[in-house]
Amino acid sequence: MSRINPLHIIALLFVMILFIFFLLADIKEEVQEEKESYKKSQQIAKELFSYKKLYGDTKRIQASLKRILSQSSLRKAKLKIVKKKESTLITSPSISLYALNSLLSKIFNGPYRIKTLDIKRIDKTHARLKLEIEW
Amino acid sequence: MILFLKFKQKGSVLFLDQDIEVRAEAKQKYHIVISPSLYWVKKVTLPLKYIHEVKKIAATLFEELLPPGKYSFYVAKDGNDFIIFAYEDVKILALLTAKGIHSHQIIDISFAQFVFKDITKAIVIDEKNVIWKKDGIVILLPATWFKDTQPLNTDSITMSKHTIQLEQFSHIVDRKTLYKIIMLLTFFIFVLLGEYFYFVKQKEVLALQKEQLFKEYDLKPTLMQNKAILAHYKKEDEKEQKLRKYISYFLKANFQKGEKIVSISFEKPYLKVSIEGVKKENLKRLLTRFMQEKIAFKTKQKGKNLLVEVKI
Repeated sequence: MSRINPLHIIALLFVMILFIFFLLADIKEEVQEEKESYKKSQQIAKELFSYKKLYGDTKRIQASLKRILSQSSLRKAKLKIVKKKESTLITSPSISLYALNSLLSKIFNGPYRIKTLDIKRIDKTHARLKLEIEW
Repeated sequence: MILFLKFKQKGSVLFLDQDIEVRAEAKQKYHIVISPSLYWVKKVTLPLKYIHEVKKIAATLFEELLPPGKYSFYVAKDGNDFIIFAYEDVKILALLTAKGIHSHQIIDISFAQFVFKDITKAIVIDEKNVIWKKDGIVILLPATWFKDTQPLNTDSITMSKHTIQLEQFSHIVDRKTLYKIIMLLTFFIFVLLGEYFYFVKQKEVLALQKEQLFKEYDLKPTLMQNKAILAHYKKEDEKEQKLRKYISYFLKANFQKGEKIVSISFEKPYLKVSIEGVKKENLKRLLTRFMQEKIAFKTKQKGKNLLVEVKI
């Protein structure tokens, strides 16, 4: 009986269905993983972007530090500013508390990476300052 | 009586009848000729042109004639007439099995009607029966009715083009139902394949989106590298936040008369704050926030001078 038995075809179709089910399960898992990976990448990308913007944009940080130091209250403090390759050193043998407050509040509220800080009280209204900000 | 002969070098012809003994060989293949005793046949003239049209009404043509059973029908054209056969698949299959012939040994199956259509003398099948043709229909008749007979010459048998397929499960489910199941399963396969290709496409789209995301945000090629960079930034940010927070804790401490900060210094990773005029028993008041938040610190007291050291 050379003609193919319909039951054999049905059995073959069942095997095919089973095989496609396995393929489908695999691809669904892969898509799910890809989705999660994409979400994770998106999250990392956004976080990285904001951190890079905050700490990684050296030119922007240098410019904003320059703006702070050129303010009239700090100009009077006669700060000594030494620009290095990867940092800026700000020193003063005697800075008024008013100027010190003004400088530190701006530095502390900005995205500046403080390498070293040394404040020593001289008298009631003055202090000695050494502040190094790195990029 | 055993009726075998070589046929076109492919297999032997086997005349299948309930009363004829057959000794089948397991490795042999067979062309089966079904005895008239295993089927019902009718020659009719109908106002129909095509075989498939006749096949549709075949069952009704045998109404009240056939004993109860599940019958299959075969229709062949004979001039302007139609010859219609009714047979029971299960019965024939059971007989084949009883004779020791399995389906894989069967090359084809034909009715005696087609194989013996040109006989001129009655052919002796066994001691009791002969095959004879009456009104164009091949039938079995008692051997005693005929004097002029001939033995079955198997060499002269030519198998007909009219062959049938036996349905093994026709008594459970008919072929139409099986075809419906096949169609349904095929449709289901297409649906599944459609779904599969949809997901393949979705995976490709996601991969493309990810590539664009990496380009847009100028990310490193691997997620691992980007995670490491992010971890570095987070660590740095955390340190900066801590430094600012701890300094503010010192500046906002509850100082009493005579107590004052004389120096604040930070050199990675230590923040050191020197406070003057602090009695040992007041230490707790000044460092309340550090203790509340369980921030580790070290203190050195020299007289009324207190040095606090916190690791950032």
